[in-house]
Amino acid sequence: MKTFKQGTPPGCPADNTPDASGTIFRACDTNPPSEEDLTSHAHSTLARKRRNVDPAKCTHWGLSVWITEQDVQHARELHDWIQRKTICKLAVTPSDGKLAQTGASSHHTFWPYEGVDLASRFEIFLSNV
Amino acid sequence: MSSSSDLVGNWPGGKLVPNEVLYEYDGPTIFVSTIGLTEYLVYKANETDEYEQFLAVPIRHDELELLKRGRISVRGALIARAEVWLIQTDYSREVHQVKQLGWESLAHWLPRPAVGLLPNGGRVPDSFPQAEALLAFKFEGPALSPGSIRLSTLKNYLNQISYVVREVLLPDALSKGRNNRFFDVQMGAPVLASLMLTIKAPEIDKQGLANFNPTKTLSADRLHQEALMKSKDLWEALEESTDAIEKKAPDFRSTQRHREILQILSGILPNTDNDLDRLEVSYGGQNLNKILTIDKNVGDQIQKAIADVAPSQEVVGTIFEINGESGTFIIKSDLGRQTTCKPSPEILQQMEKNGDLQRGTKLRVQGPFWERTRRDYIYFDTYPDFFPKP
Repeated sequence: MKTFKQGTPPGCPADNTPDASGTIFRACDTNPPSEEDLTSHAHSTLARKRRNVDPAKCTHWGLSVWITEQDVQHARELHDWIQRKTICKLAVTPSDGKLAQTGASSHHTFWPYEGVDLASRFEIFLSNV
Repeated sequence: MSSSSDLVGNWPGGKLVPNEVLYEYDGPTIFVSTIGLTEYLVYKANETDEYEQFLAVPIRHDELELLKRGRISVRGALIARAEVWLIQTDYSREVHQVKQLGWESLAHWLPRPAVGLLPNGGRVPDSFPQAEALLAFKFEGPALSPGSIRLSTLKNYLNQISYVVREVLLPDALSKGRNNRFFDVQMGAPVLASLMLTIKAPEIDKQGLANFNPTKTLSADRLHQEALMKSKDLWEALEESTDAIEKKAPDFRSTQRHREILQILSGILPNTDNDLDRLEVSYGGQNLNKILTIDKNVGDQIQKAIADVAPSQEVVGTIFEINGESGTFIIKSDLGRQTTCKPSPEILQQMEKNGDLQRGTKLRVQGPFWERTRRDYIYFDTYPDFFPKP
């Protein structure tokens, strides 16, 4: 049985969370994406990412992603600071983890399974401006 | 701002807490927060490794609903008020600095125009008057400056919009005689600095209809619906033509109805012969909010396209009405058929100089001709032939 990254609370994500499929897009601070770009706030050791973590919130143990190019373009038009990031994309399958719409608008969270190699598989979709 | 404290106003201190998240990525980026006793729209404008910076503006519940429904852009919701705060926090959203922004420095922090909360919402209006209107026309040009406008300029645009309402939105059943007196539209307050004229809703005088024999069987609700459908026709005519021009479709073929509408609108479209730089039109019918922009180039192409498909025809009639503001005059044929005549600027000037533009003058004009339901339309750029006075 697959498990999520060490430290993820039991029951997160819920059992009925859909398996990952399709394409996900992630905004990365580095090009190519680093391990830190693909580490959730709750798992991160960076002070600025950990400071607002609520361990009780399951989304804090996953990664914010978009699932369409339209969502990415919209985000970049909405926030100039997202334009300063590199947008990476990855085709995901059920063996990679779980993916669900969470919260407002087009926001999705991706919970990768423990041991899944993400960094080497992400492709650059849009370079930073 | 990061180098010195600018704590201003009555900031209650403590964290910036999202009460309702409207957009998020790696945390809330657009949200509603209660600061003191007021609801604020908060927008994440910047981030560094050490801090985040947010714009915060007071927002009413009804305005928030328009934003959530995708009827106004995020930029529009942020610039609606004179009070805009820049708030700097650490990554736990503990507020460290607060500063009120003036208009000059605000633009740097704002999101792009016409972008709403919804990714598939398309372009949306940047102001609440536009978001709340059925149709809104925002004129931009050198004669339209913030704070004041010439009476003649304001009157010209009001007359043009009045003409559009009469010719495009008026229900067919009220187009005979003086029945149009039972139809009106509710306008929003005109906004200067670019002139914005908004049509909020059609209005039917139910009592007037009922008290007048020729109209007493007409249904006010049906007439209202018809006016709403005609608003949609107006929008579709513009959207179709601007889409075709954007896609560089060489000769877009509109329906007869759309060509009529574009011809009626031609008086308010920017083109190389007038001093309008841009016209922004928004449509808020059927729970939609759409917006498009026409500049001089697009306006010229629309004029050319509708002229190209109109057959050239000769029309004879007697001048009985002259409209100085729109540069047109109306003639009536011997059989009573009316035609609006639009001379080119050079011909109009010549006619005025020669004293030929007078009521009672009978003339023959030739040019692209549009047959319309109520009154035909002809454009001409050659000097008319005049009939001797009896």
